[in-house]
Amino acid sequence: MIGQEKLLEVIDKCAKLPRFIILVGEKGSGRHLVAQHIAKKLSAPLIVSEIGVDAIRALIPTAYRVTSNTVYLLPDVENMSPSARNALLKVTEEPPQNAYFIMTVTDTSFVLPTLRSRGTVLYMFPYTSLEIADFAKQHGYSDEEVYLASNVCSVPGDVLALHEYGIDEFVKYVNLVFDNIDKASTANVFKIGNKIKLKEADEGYDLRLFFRTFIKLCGDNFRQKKYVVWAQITSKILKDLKITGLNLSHTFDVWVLAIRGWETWTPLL
Amino acid sequence: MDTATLKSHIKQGKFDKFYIFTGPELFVRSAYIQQISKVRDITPRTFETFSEISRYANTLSLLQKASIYVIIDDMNILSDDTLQSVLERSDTFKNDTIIFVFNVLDKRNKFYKRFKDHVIEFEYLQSSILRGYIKKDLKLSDKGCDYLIDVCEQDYSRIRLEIDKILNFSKITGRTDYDKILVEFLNNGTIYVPPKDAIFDFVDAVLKKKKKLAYELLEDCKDIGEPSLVILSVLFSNAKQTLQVQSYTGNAKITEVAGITPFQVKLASARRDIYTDEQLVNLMTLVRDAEVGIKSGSVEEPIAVEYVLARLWG
Repeated sequence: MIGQEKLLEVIDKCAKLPRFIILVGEKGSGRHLVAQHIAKKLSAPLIVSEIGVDAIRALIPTAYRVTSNTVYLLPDVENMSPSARNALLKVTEEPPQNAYFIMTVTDTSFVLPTLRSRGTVLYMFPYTSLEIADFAKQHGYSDEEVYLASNVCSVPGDVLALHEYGIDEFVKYVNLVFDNIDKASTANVFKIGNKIKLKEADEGYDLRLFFRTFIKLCGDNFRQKKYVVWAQITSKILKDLKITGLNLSHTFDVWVLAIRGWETWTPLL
Repeated sequence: MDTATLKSHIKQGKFDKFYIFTGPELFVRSAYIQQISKVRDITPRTFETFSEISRYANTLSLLQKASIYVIIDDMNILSDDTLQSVLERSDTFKNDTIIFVFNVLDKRNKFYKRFKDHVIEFEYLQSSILRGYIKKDLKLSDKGCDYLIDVCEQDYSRIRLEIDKILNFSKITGRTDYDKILVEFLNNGTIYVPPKDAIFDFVDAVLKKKKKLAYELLEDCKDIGEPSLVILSVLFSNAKQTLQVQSYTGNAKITEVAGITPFQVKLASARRDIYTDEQLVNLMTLVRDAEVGIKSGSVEEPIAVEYVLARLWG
């Protein structure tokens, strides 16, 4: 597993794995693969659970009844409701004999302090651009995809997403936005977000990938001050995307307006 | 798909396997369902989800008559690829007509994009058309019609209800001075004038720069427990629509260019040129900054709206 050799080494060297693991990393960083590795080490099946309160409440008595090693994966715990998180507390107070729990999360602040103190936190290692390029090459992607991926993707999941979009289509779209965002009328310009996934139920390009690719295009044109400012604006907004529950539609609209009004933009806050 | 195409299907008696009805105009939507039912001579059955009719259809015998299924606000199918694939299969529900009804359907949703050829949007009818419909039943002046349209917020279902009241009253009393009857009914509460939405009034006051009123209405919003994020979200969308309308100078219809409804255009037009474009952009940025602040913990949620107003107006 490219980029996580050290983490897997730590897991492999562990004589007795903890019953409750909190695996911290970005979406698409390979947390599920690490969970599979842990399950393999324990010679246990990996069961992916839903994280709704009803699912958690149903899971707990099952976990106490299993007679051989079983690993339960609770993915994306930042989306877990407070009642579901509280329901998990019992499992950490009196861990079931044969059950192991792995929670994946993007930041430990989403985990209740009580759960955090009872679990073992493992962090995914950040990927270098070389590792991203290697991942893309390993999957047989074209040179163009490898080059773009190493410049705009921070995790392997992004590389897979880029390939799924079709790199030509995606790059064409970002170029179209880049060329026209300050030319379209204000009434019309917000429609450029129509191909971007701004809500959960939407289809479309990942907003972070879109912004990173846009920044790359700005970088290719750094001789002009406008594009330097555009890159600054986009970088600032990109940082905000780490905040969970952010209204992406509003974020995108404000980005559009900031790009169009770049001459008066001030990097305050 | 537009209503003209749907009308031709009804006229020819040849229907698609399914349609997707959306939009706020309930009366017209229901009227089309009734027409389809009449032409096919089948009473529609109403369900909550597509999964239900899948199970129901599987228990039917092969000799079962064709059906019309009306499925209202099925949120499951919007993101369920498997169900969507079942819907697409040519052998599913061969002789039936399925009508999905969504009160609101986001155009960016994958269900919408996959089946947009089957979507018919029933927007509120324009005032000019509504006036025509009202006058067919009731001899009201143009002013009376506009008043009724405004009170009923362009909702034709509600307009019809109020017309019925007036006509019934006229039948009993023999009076035919409909404009006067309308005014009396509005004054004595016979015609329902909905209480203004607190958030709507607040947003309206902000966008019309009625500062004192805005702060008062904000207190009203808080008294009824409206969360700051909701208030901010409505303020953002209305500011955006105002910006789009006031900055637009093209010839094509703004509703098509900006993707906003005629009612939203009407509201935005009443608020235009009170702020400059730059000030509206600033307002949208302030609202978004407040939202980020709430989510990241740097802005206290209960005072987030005041935070925006203080920075907007100084």
